[in-house]
Amino acid sequence: MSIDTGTELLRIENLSKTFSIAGGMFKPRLKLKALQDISFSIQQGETLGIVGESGCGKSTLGRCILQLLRPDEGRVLWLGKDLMALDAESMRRKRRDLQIIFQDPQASLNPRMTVGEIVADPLKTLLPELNAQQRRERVMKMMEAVGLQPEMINRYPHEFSGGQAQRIGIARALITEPKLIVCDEPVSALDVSIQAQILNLLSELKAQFGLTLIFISHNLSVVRHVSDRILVLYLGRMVELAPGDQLYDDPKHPYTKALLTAVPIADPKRARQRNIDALTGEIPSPINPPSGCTFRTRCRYAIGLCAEKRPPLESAGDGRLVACHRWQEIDHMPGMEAAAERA
Amino acid sequence: MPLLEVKDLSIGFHMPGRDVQVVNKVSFALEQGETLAIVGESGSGKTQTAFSLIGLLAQNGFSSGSVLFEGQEILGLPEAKLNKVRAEKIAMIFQDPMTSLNPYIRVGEQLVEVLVLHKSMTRAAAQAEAIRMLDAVKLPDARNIFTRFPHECSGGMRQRIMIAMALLCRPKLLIADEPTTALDVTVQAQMLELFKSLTAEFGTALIIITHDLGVVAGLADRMLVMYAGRAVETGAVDELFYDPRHPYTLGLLNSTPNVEEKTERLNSISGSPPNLEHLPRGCAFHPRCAFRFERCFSEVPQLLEFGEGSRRKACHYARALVAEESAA
Repeated sequence: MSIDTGTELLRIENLSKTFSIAGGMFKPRLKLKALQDISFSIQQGETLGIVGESGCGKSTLGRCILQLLRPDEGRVLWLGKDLMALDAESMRRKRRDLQIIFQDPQASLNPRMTVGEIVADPLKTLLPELNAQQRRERVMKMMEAVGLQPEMINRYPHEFSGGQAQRIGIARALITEPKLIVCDEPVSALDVSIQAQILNLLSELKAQFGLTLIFISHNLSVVRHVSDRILVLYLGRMVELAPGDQLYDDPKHPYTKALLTAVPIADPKRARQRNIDALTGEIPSPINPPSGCTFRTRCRYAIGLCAEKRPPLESAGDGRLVACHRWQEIDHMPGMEAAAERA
Repeated sequence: MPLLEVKDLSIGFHMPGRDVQVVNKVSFALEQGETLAIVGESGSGKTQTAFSLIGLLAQNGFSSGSVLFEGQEILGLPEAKLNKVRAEKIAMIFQDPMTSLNPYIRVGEQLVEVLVLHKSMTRAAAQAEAIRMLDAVKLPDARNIFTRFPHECSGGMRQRIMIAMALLCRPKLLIADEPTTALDVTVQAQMLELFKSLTAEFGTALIIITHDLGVVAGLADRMLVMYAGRAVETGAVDELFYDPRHPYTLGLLNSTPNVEEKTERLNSISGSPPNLEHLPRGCAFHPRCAFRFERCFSEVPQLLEFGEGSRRKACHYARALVAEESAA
């Protein structure tokens, strides 16, 4: 397969998703705005990291892209075609191009199916033209590609460790030869030595099969390791989007800065030097988000304007986007957190 | 005399038709006010080691060896005496704060109960002290939180309440089992700062159980690395991070991605941890080890002192690993 980098594979335009929460006898129905006004595009061969804390909407975004959840507004353009406009049958045919890897490998494998059946399963619906022999060949090839012995094909999921189970999940996602894979916290449930194996495997497979990845994680160290560009979400909104090194070495948004200083560093001397300037408070409820900039309640730079007006997502050069009224001012303030400390 | 002295601690569980050994002759000591990190992956025995320090083994568990706390033997202590030690001398914080708080009882009542029971305080005095402790763990508006039920508090608040509850009787030793694993990274940072300031303020010794080397680097003085139920390396945090002498410690460090720089490929450890019921012969780590030689296949390495200071490792390989690795 030739990797044609530079073509736009996926474009998300003004995507919004609201969940309505059932009320009780005395409780009104509530609206939870999980995602608001999300727009970005992904080039073929790219890995886009999506980071944020719990409740920021990162998993919802992954599922909206795959049409596992239906967005309320906006468009999801796959090679220029709007996936939301497709009927069920056309979408089913598209699914072989868009696959997903889940967080909990054991929970996402049917315990009553053998590994061979699990990995072959997507082929039955998505590539029905293949016969049993062809399916079997593909499964064998894929088992080997993800580092599982083909003899394991008749075993059941409970016979596998967490790392091996995740390899099975990866094989199942890759079996239809997709172009894009959404990896939703694929290594969070794994031990650190196994996590490293799976991360290495993903990057090998990406090169081998010319994949484009959306990598969703709360672990900023892992995301830096795998991503070309990174999108930071806070309470369902985009706060910053930038190429990896630029985001980590010179974050612009106060939330990105705070997130990065909060990541523990596995280096005792550096850890002692670091002046952890932890954010105060916790993430507000997405049911009743703050007015204006949703981050303002935890932001040390917040001013009156931040409560009145929502900051637009504006260009900060080099393909970077930032949603903050004061990012330019803050950038020039001396002695500030991560950026200054890293310099 | 150290505050805590663990000698040849072994733990196992009776299973239908067989016994499974999960901790094998682990020894370590802890001084007053010191922070020790116990590091290892799932199944390494780190949590069971900590549980046995406070008599929390499951019904089918059995232990041998010795756990001396201020000279008193904890292993085999009757429940009534254990209850005096728990909370008053040794307190524990668990990974999931929701499961450790009673969902039917208001937060304040749960705190007051501890002081009335263990310190024989009057309710009024207990209430004042509990509010003081909620302030100490930096919970804003402590009086309001007092009247809430646990489900009305956020995850970070609940973890602070747990810490406050654990510190109420001013224990000499606090054991924290993965206390920040369930928390978001900004809340985790707040919590780690809180641990640092509280251990300094109250002079509490801390044992933190974690798989996150970032947490260890920022918080601990010394660390104990466990693999397949055995202690494989112990020493000062700086020594182990900058000059690890057990290949497993080195592998853990290499497997941890660094947020400060992007690496092309992580040096992962191959294979996966062994099944505790079918441990490999010799050193349990040898099937995954790049430094193994004949001796490792047959002889279990003992945790032995080496070099200066108090470093110990359980590995037959004698030379420094970091220099060898870069030479290779």
